Amino acid sequence: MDLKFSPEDIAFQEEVRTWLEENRPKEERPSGWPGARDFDVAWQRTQFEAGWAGISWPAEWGGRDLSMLQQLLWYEAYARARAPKLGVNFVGMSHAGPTLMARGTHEQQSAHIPKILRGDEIWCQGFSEPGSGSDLASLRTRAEIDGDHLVVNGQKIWTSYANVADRQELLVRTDPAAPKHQGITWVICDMSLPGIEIRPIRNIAGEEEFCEVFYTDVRIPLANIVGDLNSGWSVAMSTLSFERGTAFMADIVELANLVEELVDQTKHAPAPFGKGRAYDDDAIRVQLAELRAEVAALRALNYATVSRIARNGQPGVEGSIVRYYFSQLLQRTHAVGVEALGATSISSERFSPWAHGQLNAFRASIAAGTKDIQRNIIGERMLGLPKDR
Amino acid sequence: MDMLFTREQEDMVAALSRYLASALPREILHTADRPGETIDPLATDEYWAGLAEMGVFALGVAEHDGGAGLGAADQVAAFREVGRHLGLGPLVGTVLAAQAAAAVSNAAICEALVEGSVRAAVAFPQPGTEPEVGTRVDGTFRIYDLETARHILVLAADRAALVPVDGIEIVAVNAIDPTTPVTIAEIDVAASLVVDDPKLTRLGTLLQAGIFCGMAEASLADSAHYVKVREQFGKPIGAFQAVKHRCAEMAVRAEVAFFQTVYAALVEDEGRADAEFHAAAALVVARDAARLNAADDIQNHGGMGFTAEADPHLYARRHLAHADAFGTRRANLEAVAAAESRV
Repeated sequence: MDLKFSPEDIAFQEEVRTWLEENRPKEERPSGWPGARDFDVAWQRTQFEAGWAGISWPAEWGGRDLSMLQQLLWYEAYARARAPKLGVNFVGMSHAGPTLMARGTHEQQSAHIPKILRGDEIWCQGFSEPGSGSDLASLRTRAEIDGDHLVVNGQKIWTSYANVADRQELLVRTDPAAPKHQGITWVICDMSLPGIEIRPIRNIAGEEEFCEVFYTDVRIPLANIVGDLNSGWSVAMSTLSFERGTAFMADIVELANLVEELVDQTKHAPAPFGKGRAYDDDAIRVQLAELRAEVAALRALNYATVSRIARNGQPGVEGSIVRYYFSQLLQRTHAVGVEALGATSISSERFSPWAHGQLNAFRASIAAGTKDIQRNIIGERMLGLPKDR
Repeated sequence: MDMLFTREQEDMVAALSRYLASALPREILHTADRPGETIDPLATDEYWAGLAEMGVFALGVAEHDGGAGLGAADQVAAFREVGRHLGLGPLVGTVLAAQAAAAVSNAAICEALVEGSVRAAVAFPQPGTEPEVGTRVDGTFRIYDLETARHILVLAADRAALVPVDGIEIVAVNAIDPTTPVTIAEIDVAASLVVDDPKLTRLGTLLQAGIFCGMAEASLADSAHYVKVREQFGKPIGAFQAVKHRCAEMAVRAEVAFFQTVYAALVEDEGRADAEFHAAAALVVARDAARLNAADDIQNHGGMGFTAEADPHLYARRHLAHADAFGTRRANLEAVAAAESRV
């Protein structure tokens, strides 16, 4: 056990802090499409050209081949510089790319990974269906083999960025007769193919970010299958291990920022009751201190994740602990923000961001597996408790 | 940077865990409800001598002072096992007093503590009082595990003072956990030694956090075992999500508490300026984990959980007895709030 950083790590940290401070976009991300996509893609390209896309990705594909610790140091510098979120690059960078690196063929890797890093290829995820949410393995979108193609019919839902994506990590049922976990295939789907229809869904935070996707006789080459035919469940588990294990490391550092922002705002806002500043209200300050202590612990979990990857080569089932704890803390932070600063108060420039943030934070305990699924995983895979299904 | 145990640490932890499990079988803790009687392992020298032999009191003492010269992280790892097995006696006080004696080059006291021939209890000023803590110690104090101690290490703000037990006046003994009595006493004596260094209190805070981490894990392990064997409605109760999710939350708390405590100990070992923040944060999350996991363990056991015969209440009692050591939860939170921006 140690917290020592090598001279290379420290030099790296200095370098990224300087670069991010100088190069991060200073303007706001546009709120609608296609402006938001263009913004995200341009920023990804800027990072790629300067050599900062894919810190821990293989150099063969244009990454830096550095350690997960340096990846985390990057995220920390990133959050500190208040650089924009990955946005439409999230799926490609956080779990489609890592899945291809872990399970794809060399051809698939060379076809997609460099494009993901450059921001040339936007990915989305086609896992959930209207009838298959938490019970993902019950998915019914069919794919039948016809020559050297899969012919896909069915529907996916909650697909973030489907309306602006180029590719999709798509789970389809290729053997309806097999037990439900054994008849699934993970396939790369080109979103421009004939037969794909996309309908954006407005979410509770007022954004059109996730979509329904309909497939009618969509022909996907067999060469696009990642892993083997009918072995897609294990590839999907690989995807989910990245989605739950490493994809949110940056969000955790950002949450720490958010808590400090909240502390700062309460020092400049009136108390919700009585005289003085919100920060001087004991009921508020105690909650802020609890958040600070717990977010510190959440960051410690980030370091534990990096340590486990350094030892085992991949994120472990503990990712569900991090994901669950993160979602609860994020939601509490926004709730404290609303309590301390008011749901409808007006700051000097605009409405309080905490109310909108509270709505948006509901996603955290639903996406990447609901908090109930995360607790099932912790109970069953970490504690060995029996299944009830 | 590595948050996981080294092989050496794993071996040390496993050996200590084995020793504590054999020296302190659960039955002993259940026979402790006899006010005024010293619990068996503390009444004789064997248990304490075994701890000294394993080097528990020497861990943080520098090698040139006769110790192992290890850091806070190793000590936290050891005290997690102490918590897991509900260790008895003035362990934290003895470890801190040995390091206090070493800090002022009092070799005689340091050696006696390290080799296990004497013990030191840790003490804090009673809330609402402002006692004198210096070359003379004068005031009302709350003392942990006093009964077999020969010294008392008084901790107040940034100062530690060691005083002999002779001549103190006991006001009351709280035995909410009879295995770890808390004594209120008047002290008015000259100190044997004084150390002006906030590091000792920070280290104690980390050790206490380590103890709570171990307790949180023990409650979790107790529940995880019970819900697999206890059957209702024709299946193990751990199959029901209401129970499974409660157990999952116990696991989350144990993990969160452990890694924050490890991180805080490593920050201490690095000599960083935010050591106090992290130590206070660690004690907050570790204490919460011990409290809530003990509560959930009682709940998971149903009616059995409410009996004195079953184990779950042992952790709830120990949490109550130690809840205010190294600052109340509220005091720790104010320390967390007072820290510089964390960005």
